[in-house]
Amino acid sequence: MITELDSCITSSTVTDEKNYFLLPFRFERLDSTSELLVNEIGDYIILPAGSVERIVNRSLSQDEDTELFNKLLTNFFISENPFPEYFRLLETRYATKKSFLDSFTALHIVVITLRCNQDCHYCQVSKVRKSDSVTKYDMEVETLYRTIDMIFKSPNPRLTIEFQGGEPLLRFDLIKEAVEYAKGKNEGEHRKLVFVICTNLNYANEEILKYCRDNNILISTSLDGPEYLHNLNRPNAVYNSYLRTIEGINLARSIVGRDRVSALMTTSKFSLEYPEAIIDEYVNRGFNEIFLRELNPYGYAVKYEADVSYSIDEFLEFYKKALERIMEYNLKGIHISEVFTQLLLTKMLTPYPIGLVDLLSPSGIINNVLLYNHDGNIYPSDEARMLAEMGDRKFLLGNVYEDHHSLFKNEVVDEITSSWATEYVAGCSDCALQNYCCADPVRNYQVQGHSYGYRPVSDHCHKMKEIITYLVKRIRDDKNFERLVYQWINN
Amino acid sequence: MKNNSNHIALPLVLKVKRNGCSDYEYNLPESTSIYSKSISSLQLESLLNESDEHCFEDGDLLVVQNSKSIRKIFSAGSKHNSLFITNNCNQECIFCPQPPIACKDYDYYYSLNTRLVQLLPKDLNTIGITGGEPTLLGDRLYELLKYINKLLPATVIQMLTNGLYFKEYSQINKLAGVDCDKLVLGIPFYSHIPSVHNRIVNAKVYFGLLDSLFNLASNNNQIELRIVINRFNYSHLYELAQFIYKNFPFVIHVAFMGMELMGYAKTNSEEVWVDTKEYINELCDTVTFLDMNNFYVSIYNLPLCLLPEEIRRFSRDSITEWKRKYDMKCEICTAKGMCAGMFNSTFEKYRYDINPI
Repeated sequence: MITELDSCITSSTVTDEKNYFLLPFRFERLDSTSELLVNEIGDYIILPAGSVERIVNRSLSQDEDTELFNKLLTNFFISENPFPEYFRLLETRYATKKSFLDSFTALHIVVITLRCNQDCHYCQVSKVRKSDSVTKYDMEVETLYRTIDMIFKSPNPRLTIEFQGGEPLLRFDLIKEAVEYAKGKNEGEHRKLVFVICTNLNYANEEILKYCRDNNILISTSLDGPEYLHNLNRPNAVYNSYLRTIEGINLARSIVGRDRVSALMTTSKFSLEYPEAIIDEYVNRGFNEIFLRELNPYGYAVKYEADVSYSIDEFLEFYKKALERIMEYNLKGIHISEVFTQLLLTKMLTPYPIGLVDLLSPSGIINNVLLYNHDGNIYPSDEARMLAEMGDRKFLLGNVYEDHHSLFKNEVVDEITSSWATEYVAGCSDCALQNYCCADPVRNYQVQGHSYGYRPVSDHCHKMKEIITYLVKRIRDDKNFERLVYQWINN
Repeated sequence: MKNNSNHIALPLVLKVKRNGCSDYEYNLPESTSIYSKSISSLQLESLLNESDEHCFEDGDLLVVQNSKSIRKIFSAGSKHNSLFITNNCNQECIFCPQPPIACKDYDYYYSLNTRLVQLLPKDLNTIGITGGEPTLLGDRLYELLKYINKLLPATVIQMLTNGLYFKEYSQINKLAGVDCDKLVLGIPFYSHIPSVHNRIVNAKVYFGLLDSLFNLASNNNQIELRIVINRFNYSHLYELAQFIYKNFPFVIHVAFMGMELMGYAKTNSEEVWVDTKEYINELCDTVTFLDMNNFYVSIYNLPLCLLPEEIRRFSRDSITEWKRKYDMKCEICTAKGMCAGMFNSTFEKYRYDINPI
């Protein structure tokens, strides 16, 4: 009588005769003629349709399908031994890819004030007016100190402190206080400290910028495109918001340094029609990077949804057009790259890890980013506080006056961690693209009502799948694009 | 001559001075008038006259072998000087230009090399370590490396090894004890396909080699991968490069090498030789790919005119002067000064394809 164990042994003997064993990999039909196969460490190969079936049915032979056999062997899809001899290599590769987990939280976002002088239609943080209550919406000095103390509880040898708002330059005095306090604290610790101010630059002046220059502070500003578009997205009742931004960028560059001033764009409904003009604007302003950011479903972007939001497919169309424009510039010898694509491609084509919070699994929230709100409350990400500003404190981790450990030992973190890795979330774990993607419990909760999420109708899933397969095909079909891609990822 | 035959014949090393030779003898620091004890000036004179090595330059080092012949072991004008460690090897590569000889030569060469190191110019740019397989010397190899590093701290040490010795992590610790940041290990990695690499080196060593590479890399040793292009690997050079890029990003240098048609390569030439035109397009893509991904890439031993223009900049002056040959045609070539030339042994293979630039 054959027991279950016996049949196991029998079947393994059969596979032994067939010369190879399967290593874990995932696959997907790319188009009618080809299949995409991705191994456990994130290397992909493209094979003719029907290949996966042949591989899995053990109908390959080393002698007759030598080339394919060797390709699968040296790309770690099959093994000649049940215990793969490439194990050491795979182990090293895997650990390298996941090394963003080694040091715990690096990016610490501090909301200095929720007040802002501008009235962006899509404001995702639900800002309040500049004239609103300082005591209610600005961080208190004592809270600021406790915030920095809490940041230094992270064991990471590199700490980035990013000042956000509202408009943080409304309280430059607080930023200065934070920088001096952090530097003082760091004297005995010798960590690599980086500061960033996310500002519309409307209040930037020589004094502020000189301070930034002398204290290693980076400037990150918002530029949504050419004048008509920028002013449409980011209006100000009193002055021309675009011109103020450009003046600010020029002044900041002249004082802080060209390479220390960067800009971000947010894609509004209005932006969709101007992918080329947006890229042109960035090139004309001398930027060599752009981040095509999709509007997130938080804050006023939800409140005024009908006016500002759009479907994922509309965004994808916009994204592809913009990417083509970027490609045209690069072919002409003008270097400009798209940051999101660049990082995604780094995941797909290189052995290196990336640090972009939005593209990690396990998720970048908590592991790589924490947010300290003006009232001292701590959230796992910027999006979680956006949700809180909408009235839902679902993801509140604690407060700067509490113990560091208590932030991570609670039901909120339990819930987040049970749904924050593509490796084990249903709908992701068997997806061919899961190595390149990320799980986003906060977004799932906001859009679908539960942090675990449901992939078949997830717009995030749709977007990622579309972009990744688009890039795979572009690289396969266009040598110029492939070259461009390697230029980007090695920059 | 009359060396004491009870001892290993200690090599007599001579340094060429402008007017003839002045002598140095191994292990005898009070070197003046020593040679008369072991070899007469008359004998020396006649040996020099008989020697195949005709032109001696100031600073060349010569070794007197058993008082019977003289061989140049360091050429002052060359960039390609090496310490030869042993004739033994634990691999038998199918195209080995200098097939191994099993013999007890470790002591002789160790003595010779120790002496040689003392006499090398202090401003020497690079010294090679070669064989055979140098690591077969065992722990004394580390002593030699330490000694070189002590006497010539600014000199790059370029050791050619099959790397297998470093499969054991204890060797990594010993290598670390040498404490030389100018040591580069040139290791052959003929194919990323296990069966192909093993076929070429005639041994099942592929996965051991992988262990060695990771061991060496884990301790930040500098590794150059050396790929001799042959009939077994020429059709998958690009895949090989992709494999290196993804799995060995720690490698500091990748060198693609034209084959020297000596030794086993000559015997097996039918099986191993492949004409440049069969792989040149693939080599071009391969080199471009690695360069694009920030690897330092070199092409050795191929005449410049056989390379497409966009990859000529990767060609290095890699052939030792005494093995190098140019054609008559080369005399009018404007790029001769930058060209690796041809081996004496490959001259016939290339001479009809070359064209002056």
